[in-house]
Amino acid sequence: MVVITRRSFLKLSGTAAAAAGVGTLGFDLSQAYAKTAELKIKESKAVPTICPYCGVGCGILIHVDKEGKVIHVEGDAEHPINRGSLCSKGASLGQLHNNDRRLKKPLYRAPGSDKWEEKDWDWTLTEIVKRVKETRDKSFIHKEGDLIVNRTEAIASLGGAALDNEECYLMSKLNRGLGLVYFEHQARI
Amino acid sequence: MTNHWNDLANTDCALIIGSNAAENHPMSFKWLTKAREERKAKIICVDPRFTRTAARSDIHAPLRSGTDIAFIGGLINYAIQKNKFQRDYVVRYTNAAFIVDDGYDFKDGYFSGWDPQKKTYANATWNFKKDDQGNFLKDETLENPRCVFQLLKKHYNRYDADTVCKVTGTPKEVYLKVCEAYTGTGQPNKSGTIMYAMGCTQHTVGSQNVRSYAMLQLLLGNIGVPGGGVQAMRGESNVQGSTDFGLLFHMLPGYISSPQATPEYALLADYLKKETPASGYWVNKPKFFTSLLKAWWGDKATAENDFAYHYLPKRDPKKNYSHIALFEAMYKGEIKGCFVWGGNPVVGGPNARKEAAALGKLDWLVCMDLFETETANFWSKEAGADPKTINTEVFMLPVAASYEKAGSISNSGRWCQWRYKAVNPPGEARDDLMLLHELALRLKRAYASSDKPQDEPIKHLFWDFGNDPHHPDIEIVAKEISGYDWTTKTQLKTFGDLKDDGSTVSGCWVYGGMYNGPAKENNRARNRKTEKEGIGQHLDWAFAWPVNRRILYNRCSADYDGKPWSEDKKLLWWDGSKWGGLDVPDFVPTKAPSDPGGTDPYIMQAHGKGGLFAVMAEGPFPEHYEPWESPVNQQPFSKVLVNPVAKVFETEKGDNTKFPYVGTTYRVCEHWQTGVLTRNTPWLAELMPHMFVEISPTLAQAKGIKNGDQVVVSSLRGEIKCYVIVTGRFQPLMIDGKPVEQVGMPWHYGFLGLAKGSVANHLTPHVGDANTTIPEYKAFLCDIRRAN
Amino acid sequence: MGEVAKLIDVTKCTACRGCQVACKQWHDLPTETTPDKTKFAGSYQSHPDLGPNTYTIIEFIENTNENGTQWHFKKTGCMHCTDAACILVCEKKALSKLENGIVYRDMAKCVGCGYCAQNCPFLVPKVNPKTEKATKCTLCENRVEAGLKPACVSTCITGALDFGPREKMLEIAKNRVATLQQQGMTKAQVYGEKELGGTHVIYVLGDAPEVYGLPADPQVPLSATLWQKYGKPLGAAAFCASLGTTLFAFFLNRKKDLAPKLHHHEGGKSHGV
Repeated sequence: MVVITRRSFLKLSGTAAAAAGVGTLGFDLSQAYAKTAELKIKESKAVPTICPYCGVGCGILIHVDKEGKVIHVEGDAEHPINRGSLCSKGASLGQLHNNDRRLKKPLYRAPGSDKWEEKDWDWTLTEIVKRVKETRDKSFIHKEGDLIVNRTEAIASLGGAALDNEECYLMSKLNRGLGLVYFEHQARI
Repeated sequence: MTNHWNDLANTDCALIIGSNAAENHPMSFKWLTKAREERKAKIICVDPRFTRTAARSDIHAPLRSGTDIAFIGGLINYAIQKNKFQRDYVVRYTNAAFIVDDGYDFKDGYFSGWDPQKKTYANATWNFKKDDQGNFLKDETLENPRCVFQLLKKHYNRYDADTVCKVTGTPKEVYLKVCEAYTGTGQPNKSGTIMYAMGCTQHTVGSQNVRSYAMLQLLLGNIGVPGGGVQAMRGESNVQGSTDFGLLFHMLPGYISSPQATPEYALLADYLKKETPASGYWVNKPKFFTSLLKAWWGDKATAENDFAYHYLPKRDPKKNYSHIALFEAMYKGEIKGCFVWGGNPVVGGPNARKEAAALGKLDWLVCMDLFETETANFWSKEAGADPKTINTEVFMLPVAASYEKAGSISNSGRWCQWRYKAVNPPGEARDDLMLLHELALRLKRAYASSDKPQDEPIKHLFWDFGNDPHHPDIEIVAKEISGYDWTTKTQLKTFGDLKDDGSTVSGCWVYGGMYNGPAKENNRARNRKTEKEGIGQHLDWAFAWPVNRRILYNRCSADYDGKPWSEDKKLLWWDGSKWGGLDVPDFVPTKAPSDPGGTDPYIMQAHGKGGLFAVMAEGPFPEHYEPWESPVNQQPFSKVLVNPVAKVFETEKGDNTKFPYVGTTYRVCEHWQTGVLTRNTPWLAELMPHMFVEISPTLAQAKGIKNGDQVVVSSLRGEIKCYVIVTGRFQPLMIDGKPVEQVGMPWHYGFLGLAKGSVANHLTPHVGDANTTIPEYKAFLCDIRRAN
Repeated sequence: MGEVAKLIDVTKCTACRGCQVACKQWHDLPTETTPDKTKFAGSYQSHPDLGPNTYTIIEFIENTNENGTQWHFKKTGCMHCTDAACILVCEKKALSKLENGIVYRDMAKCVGCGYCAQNCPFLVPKVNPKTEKATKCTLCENRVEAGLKPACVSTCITGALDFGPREKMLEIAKNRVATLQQQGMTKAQVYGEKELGGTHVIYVLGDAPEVYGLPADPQVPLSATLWQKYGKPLGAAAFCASLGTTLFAFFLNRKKDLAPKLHHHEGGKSHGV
């Protein structure tokens, strides 16, 4: 048995009235819709990359338009591992770039402060280097008895499993050059 | 992975244990589905809960979290008792025939060498007997009661199906189905693969869990063949690479041990003496190590100064510097500064609340990420902290996403693949390569005028990556990794060309020869040619270390004479003068099967054989011990409840009368690790927007909890509030006749991002595996109640 | 190409939901934000239903009984029916049938009246209150035209989704069902071959349609047929005036009428609970 409610009636009336208004308000949406119907990747260039998520290593194509914007992301059909397919994480990759939540400037939080301050790169790197040097110099153990040990136990380095090999290599080199021994990353957890 | 993703299509049976492959490595199911359709392969899912993997498996065998060794021990026993193992493979390719030291024993849950006072093992008896010439004593009939095979048989004879199921909670009929199906791969024309991830490793017996898988595979002749192997499915896109490059306290690039502050490691010669074995491929270690030192200190590394060996930091042998220990030291105020290069321990670390508190003891913290992380915000009100009381200075640096920069990453199958830059990063975000370069140059400048010997390692660090003060030339970095001749600067073809006299450079020998010429095209990570026909090896796609080998230990794919065990599983064969086939041989291609060592496939082992018997922290055979926090007070295999050498940092453990349920953590397909990227990705946040915990209908009923309620889950470390999913996919398991409930939850959530939720790791302990100190995230005790 | 079809083999789906995201990616669709779509549903399912910004979802359907646990993953979206009720009731001709069988959606013509939504036997189209447009799966007709597969099919990992000539898809579906039956799934069946004149989305089901929330015998609602015959020529106002409010409401309430039948497993909630 169908029950009529005033509410459902009004709902439809409202929709219908609003719909009727589209034409009369002077908007012409037809162009906008025609545009989405066009194949959006027609004019783009596709740049191959590998998914940054799990350890499978699926191939992905990043479609970039003439203005350098990411307009589409899809699996790399030639890639032997995924043959164009992608899971939800891989398929969502465009939103890592097209994302207004991304950090765009270095941030600094002072002792006791409850907020971030935006800083420029030169200041940031200068201050970080100052702290690294000070901490290293204060804590450095050059020798234990006759044995040269060249280490600091006051600076730690964590992370790196999402970095490129070339980055990992430079990190390994720099950290060892500084004498770090508290040097760990996600493989341990 | 000993094999690779495409090779899953060649399997006859996949045993997925300690992993939820369909959710966390979804692409594995592309190839498993193919195997099932084309080879009628069986898929077995061993998991405490019914997952999306279970939904697509032929058999789902539930087991209680932390009982893998019992489960696999029973399979080993089954394979031996029912004569399902591949005898010829076992006799010659494993150390089954080796005679073990007379002092070796196993009694009452302890292996020989146990010191109850010191609570440590002396492992001298976990060894093989040799004759006067130093050759291993063997009995290839496998009858000698002191041979590995007989000791193995005796050890696992105790793991009968009834006892196993009492411990694991697996219904016996299901368990026997698994035994029958999986040991069926012990025939020469069949292969089975074992796929694992963190469900295996994140236990106090994690390393022995892996070993038990490897041993089962050796017995069944499943290693070194297409569709076989042991697959460590890595959870991060380049955790394979980051491990290869030694971002770990105990290892330098290329799996070379970091030196220790003891006289044994005083000079280069001492180090090499200590670390170089007498046989096996590691005899080449001096070449790899010297080339690494040369890569790091260039002209300052000379024969006269031990190639600057003394510049390397030497760690204190009495100290553990691993993740948990690092945070314990930080908590005590011993660490003053910390870099986090993409990482989020405030969400992902065990006992995460303690780890957040530890960060508050730092003077300074530098975090790099695409989005704000919980770790960088540990001082904030959202974190539950009082900012006024925290004096740590924090730098949060914006970095580039994977396709906003160029570089290579290595997948679980060891394929190193090049990624191209598609777009610039937003705003002022920079790539990490740039950051590392600039930090290195600035630090070197800061020490340039120092004349202290202790500053030489950084002052003289060889850093020659082009003239751009901001951005290093990545091609030069990649070429240094691969290796070149120091004098002529020509790229080397393989790590076989490396020398120990300082004439060659290689930043990571396992990648040796990847970049084998001057042009970009010589970087084989860029190779993009797929195989048109074949078994899916794709030798011209990317570069697989070592030397582009796709299936490790591939000598095992052929019998003693070099003939493939079966036509279906052929990979390599001896044609009378050389080895050829579908892969790069794992040994000298002209070494005849009849040559000395011609049947020694495990080239990284000093004895060349697969290690059915091998030295580990807690003994040479994996033995079942309960998780550190266990729902039971005794176990049937011995009186020793918990791994006696587990790394325990907590002072107190949860009482199973107060915390009666087995808690565990996991991931879902839609989020990744601590969720920094995925919880800030709208399309993914939408798919899995809320933190939840999953429990069985019986537990829900007992606790008056309804599906969708808010609940509080507690452990001795703390409590969290979240939604509950009450589901038949969770069931209590019958452990020694008593039902034990399980409580599971994802660990992706934190207090920032689009999808927020409680941090599951507030519940997990600072307790680690005996060999690796990997935390026991996967089995802890907890309680649950309805939130008010 | 002739008639095309998308094949959904629910027995191969791992519910990775690449299809859900790929769809949003191709169509540049934002997330759903309304409370009914975002509240915790006690399941892994992302939304209780399709939405104006969500053309496809994977439904998580759970069953625990004496035979153990089954967890079904069913992709839901427009069926692209031959006898498409939505086309019958679309006053503005915003919906039409392409030669290849795709129910084409011309957004420029749509006024968001919602008749399609109310008359669809599968309750697929949804009206976006902001844009006042009814939306649904397009079967990526622009990709198909360009020789590509629909976005969801291209991204599918296991081959649970396929796309091609309808005849071929039917053949694959039938072969697959035969295999499944041999493996003991006696109720495995093809869905969509004959239903509603033959749909252009065809399912391989491992069990009866009801298990997956599909109507066993879907029909074009009487309201749609009446509307096509009498309503459309008169225009909405006149039609309603002539019939009176009661019958008018009947059209409006088709959705309520169908809802319990189709969504008995609301949000993929466990049957065992």
